Amino acid sequence: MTAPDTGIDVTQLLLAWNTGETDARDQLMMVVYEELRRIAGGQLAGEKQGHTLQTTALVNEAYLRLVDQTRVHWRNRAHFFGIAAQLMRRILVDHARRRYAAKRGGGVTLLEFEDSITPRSKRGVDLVVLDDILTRLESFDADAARLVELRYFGGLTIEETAEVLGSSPATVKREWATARAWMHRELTRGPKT
Amino acid sequence: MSQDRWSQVKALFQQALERDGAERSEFIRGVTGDDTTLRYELESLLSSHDEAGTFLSNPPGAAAAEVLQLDDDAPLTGKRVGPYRVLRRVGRGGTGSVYLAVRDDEEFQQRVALKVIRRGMATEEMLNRFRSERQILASIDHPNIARLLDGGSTEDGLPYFVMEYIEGESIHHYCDNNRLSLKARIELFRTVCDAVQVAHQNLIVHRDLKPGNILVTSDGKAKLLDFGIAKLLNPELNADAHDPTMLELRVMTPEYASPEQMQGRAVTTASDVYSLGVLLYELLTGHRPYSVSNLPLHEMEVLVSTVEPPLPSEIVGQSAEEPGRDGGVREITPESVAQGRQASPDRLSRDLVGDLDNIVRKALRKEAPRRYSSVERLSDDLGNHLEGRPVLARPDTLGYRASKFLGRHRVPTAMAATALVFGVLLTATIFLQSRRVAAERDRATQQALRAEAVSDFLQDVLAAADPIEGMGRDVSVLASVEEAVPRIAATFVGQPELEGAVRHTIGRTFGRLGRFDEAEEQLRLALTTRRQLFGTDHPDIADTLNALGEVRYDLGDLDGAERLYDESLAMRQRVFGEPSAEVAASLDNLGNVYQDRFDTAEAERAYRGALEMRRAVFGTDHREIASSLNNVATVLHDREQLEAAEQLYRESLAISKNALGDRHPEVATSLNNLAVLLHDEGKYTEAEPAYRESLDISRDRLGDMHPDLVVSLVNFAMLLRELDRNDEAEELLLQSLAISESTWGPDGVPLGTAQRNLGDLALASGDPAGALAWFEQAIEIFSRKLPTDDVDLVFAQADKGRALIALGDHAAGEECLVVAYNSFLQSYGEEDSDVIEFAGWLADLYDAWDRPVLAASFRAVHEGAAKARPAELVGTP
Repeated sequence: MTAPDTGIDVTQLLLAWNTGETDARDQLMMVVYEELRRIAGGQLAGEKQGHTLQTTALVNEAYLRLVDQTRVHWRNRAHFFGIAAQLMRRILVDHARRRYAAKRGGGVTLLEFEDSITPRSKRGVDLVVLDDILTRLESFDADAARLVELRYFGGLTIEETAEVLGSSPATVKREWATARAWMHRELTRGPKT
Repeated sequence: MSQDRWSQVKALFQQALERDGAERSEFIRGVTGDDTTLRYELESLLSSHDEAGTFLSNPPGAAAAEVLQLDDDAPLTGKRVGPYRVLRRVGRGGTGSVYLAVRDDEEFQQRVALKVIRRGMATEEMLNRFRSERQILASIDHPNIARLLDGGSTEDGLPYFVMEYIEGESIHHYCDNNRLSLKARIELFRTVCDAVQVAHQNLIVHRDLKPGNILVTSDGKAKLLDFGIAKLLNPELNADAHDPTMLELRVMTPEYASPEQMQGRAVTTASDVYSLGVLLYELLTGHRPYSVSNLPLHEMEVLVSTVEPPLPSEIVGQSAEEPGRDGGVREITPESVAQGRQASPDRLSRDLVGDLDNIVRKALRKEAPRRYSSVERLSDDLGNHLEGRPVLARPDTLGYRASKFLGRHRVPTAMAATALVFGVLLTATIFLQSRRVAAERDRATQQALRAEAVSDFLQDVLAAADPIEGMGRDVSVLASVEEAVPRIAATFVGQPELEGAVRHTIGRTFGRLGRFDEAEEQLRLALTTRRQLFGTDHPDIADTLNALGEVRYDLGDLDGAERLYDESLAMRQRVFGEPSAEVAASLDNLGNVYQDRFDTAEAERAYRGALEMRRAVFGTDHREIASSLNNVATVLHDREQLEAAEQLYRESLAISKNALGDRHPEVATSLNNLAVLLHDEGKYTEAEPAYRESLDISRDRLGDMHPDLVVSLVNFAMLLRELDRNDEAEELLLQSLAISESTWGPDGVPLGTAQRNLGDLALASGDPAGALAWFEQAIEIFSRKLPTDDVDLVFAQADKGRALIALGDHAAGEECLVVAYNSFLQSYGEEDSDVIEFAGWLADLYDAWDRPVLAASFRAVHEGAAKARPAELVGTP
């Protein structure tokens, strides 16, 4: 299965990554980014539009589009979703940071956005702060941080996350509750280190 | 927080979660004890858990989607980057976006292309890749490659670089829009080849050659763009310092991807040759070789790796539909294609048939080494076509034959060459043959795949010298191989394994052609390469040691050969163990050394050792057994145990026929050996049909002009000569002459040997004038190609002397004979059998010339009274 524009075989990249290809990771990011963008842009002729994004997570859709499910091992799926979730995190946080910078008037910004992409009430959480907290969690519990990435930025359900990680839903649920509790506590304490 | 502490907190937190109310409080008190910090941790986490509500439960999918779209739709347009003002986005590559920009701090507003890494992509790896592309562009300066002008970082630290802005259209649209003729298309395509070749010379593989990356400007100049996924072959230049042998990933457009790229195997310059082949196909025919765009990847892969595309001349007669750029369907018909090339459909097809079909097919070979060995060669061949010269590319059937010639028959061919160069005139030169064949075959089995790759590289080189394929070109095998040597390093950069294999093979080829210095040089280089690659013990290292041993053996350096064979044998014993085919092959080669030392006992021991080992490996009824039986037979043959030898030869022959069929070339070899033995036994009536059968099989299976025929032709001629059937003998020798000339060229030593054989026959037939002419031709070749004391040259001079004497020119004859006599006397001493024979000829001369004193002196030498040798003659002409 091939990314339509680039001709890159994502399945192959995943398999290659599994065998230790150093190049595979950044190429994966490239393709996944491209596909996410296409899905987001609703550029897929004849595809369901609009509501799709609310019901199905972007990365899930990208996965179905990009990966030949008959050829990959669960570990490959974990790689894929890990990459995609990380990518989403970077895109969102980066965007939020730039908006901050623009408001502060610090330096020339490369890109400017409308201030109301998403209503503040719906956005719910300050992504820049959340990113800092997640980075701290990563420093002592990398697995938990990945889980948060998958669940939150990747939009996976408990069951999907369990499948991707090769774990049980019960374990994922416990770990998720723990990480979420910790992050919530840190968030409400304010962004200190 | 430390990881240990966190693990503890986490475990307790999760256990606490399973409890409610009072039970939970009690649990916490119990597990925390006096540790108030721990208690606070747990309690704060638990209350945070209870308060979290929907925290993190609404993934920001919609927001992300909006951001993604914004990211795409909010480019640098209108902004300044360094001294450049960005006008608009013109494209998006893998790692970044390309903008049209102007440098607006100058009077003259220069339009440039500005490439910036994509924001979301700025990982360390991506930055490396991006820098690598910049570095690649900086290292090439070619009119057909977009030039790098500048580079820097944007204000927020993203790297960018600035290239020449190419205003143009992609090459296939340009050709179609301007209705370029085939010739004009080929000429334009060749400028693209130039650009790619320059990249290759800079050790850069483009990896993504397709029309979209090749623009043509309004003044008709092609420009190669986008080295975004190009690969630097030289690791020292590579910022990432990737292992150059690592598997490449499939990152290119599938329609233009080579089979190796589709399969994720190593990508080399040959992959660019393939992609250029696809491009050429498309430019010539308006079709692509495969329509793969809608297939799942693994089907694409199978298709491209196994199915031959239609020939260009065929596809232009067909109609097809392809998706147009506007989303609709575009129909391609024979008429539309021909019209776009200013030709009629018939005419177009006729113009493509033959050369262009063959050239495209050679570029599109599925096995990389069978393609053109470089882009330059592809371009040169197109040049050949345009200028009406014969092209290198050949139809598939003939290519197949050529490959067979070089693959399977390369070995016996070489045997014939070695035999001819070193064989003594008209003596049975057969034994080497099947002894070596066995060793060769082991190698061939072991390395079948790689051997094919290497022989395909060589096939390209040798095509010009092949009598069938070479279209009369006056190029010898030797010249071709010599030409190949300087290309090895560049062709196989970053592929030490293939480089080692090619040098190994070329070294062996030099060896067979009698160029032992070059042979040793290449084999030593192969040995060094392989040792660096494989360390101490490896089958390939053992092979090269063995090949070096063969060169020393051919040079007559039996001690040197033995040392190398021993080293190879020991390594093979370690690597393969016993019994094994490889160890048996080494034993065979050692047997050859012992046999040449006349140590028949040791030789027999080695050969029989190999035979037993092969029986253990292959069973009783295998070609290897036939070969071993043959070797043992040669020892018995040497010992004049003719009956025993005959029995073994017959046994060997029966197994060969059984294992390979009655008409196999190896059966021909077996028959030849048996015939020589029968000949030696004086069983002429049995020998003749054996020779005839052997020749008949060889001609049938290999063709009339195959070098393998030479040995049997000469042997059979010798028999006929003994039977006084000189006319028949001459006919055979003339055939051997024709084969030698077409195989080894008009300057080749084998041709001189054939001429000498004919001279010898003419002399025996009472035609000294004819003989003299043959000998003089042979001497002309030998004196150009061989050192002055070479055995063949000395013999030819003695022969010439005999012819002159027969013609009554005593003085000239004397001069020749004395030169030959002195040469051998100095090299081999007075008891050498040839010195003694020459002395006899000189005695006859002086008798006929009425110089009785000299005659008596030489007669004495001839008859073994060496002490009576007339010392004063030494040194006189």
